[in-house]
Amino acid sequence: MMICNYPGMKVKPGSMGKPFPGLTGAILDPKTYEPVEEEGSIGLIAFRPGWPAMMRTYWNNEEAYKEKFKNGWYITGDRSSIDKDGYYWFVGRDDDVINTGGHLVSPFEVESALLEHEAVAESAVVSKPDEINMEVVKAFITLNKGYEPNDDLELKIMNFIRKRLSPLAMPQEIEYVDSLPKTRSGKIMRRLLHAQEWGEEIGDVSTLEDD
Amino acid sequence: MDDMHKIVLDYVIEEYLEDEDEEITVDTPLISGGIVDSFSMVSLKRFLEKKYDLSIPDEDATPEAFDTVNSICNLVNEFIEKKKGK
Repeated sequence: MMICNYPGMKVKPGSMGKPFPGLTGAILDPKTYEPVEEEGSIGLIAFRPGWPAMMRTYWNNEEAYKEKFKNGWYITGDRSSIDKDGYYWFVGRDDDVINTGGHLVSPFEVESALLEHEAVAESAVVSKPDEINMEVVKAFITLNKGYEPNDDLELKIMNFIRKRLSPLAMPQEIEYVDSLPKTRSGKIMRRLLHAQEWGEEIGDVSTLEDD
Repeated sequence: MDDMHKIVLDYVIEEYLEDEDEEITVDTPLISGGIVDSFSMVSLKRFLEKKYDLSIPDEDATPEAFDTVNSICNLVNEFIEKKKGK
């Protein structure tokens, strides 16, 4: 636990909180690995090495361990922004963030907004290849009881996201599914859906829940 | 103004116009005028395809063809004619 809401601190719902006292955290530019000072801009969550309980290596994989350090920072693999009060707002895992025509879209944010639509029970958002924008947003959803999957609903949900978030975040395609692939602990395996969209190897599925 | 022009214009006003007092006509530039951006075009195209039971290929859904209600209706009519011809 490195970023949290510790006692005495005002909780901002939806935010991760702040780095625990004693830790030096920052948001880094993904290209230069320099801290981003601009409030609200999205970057890599990083920490200055040397915190208590810091791991010393990856077992039998020193190389992979070393890869985690850039420009004197430990790169966590998560992305967020920081608000004016120093609170971190989670955006997604590094490899989840969708780059659509040069704009970064957080799948997590789109998924959360989708759940606010009355018809949507569960959602998973990934990128899909696009000739013009490199990547565009695609959503997989399961519907609540009483809703029928059809084009009319798809358009309604698309417009709902467009107005709630932005045109960039609007899924360019919505696929209705009966269920989403999940791990046994209940996390949605976005990676599988991503691989399916990009025609990639699905990889390790040993944590996939049994039917 | 025929039905199609009215339907499309109403849809644009309802879905895309942020300022309710702003008045637009069938000739108001939508894309180049900043009312509809290129990402939002996808949902507009989806609306037309559903409404008129068409499939408009991406290469025909250009920002120019979508720039005014007039040009949108021309494009839709073109595809309706094509469909009839088949």
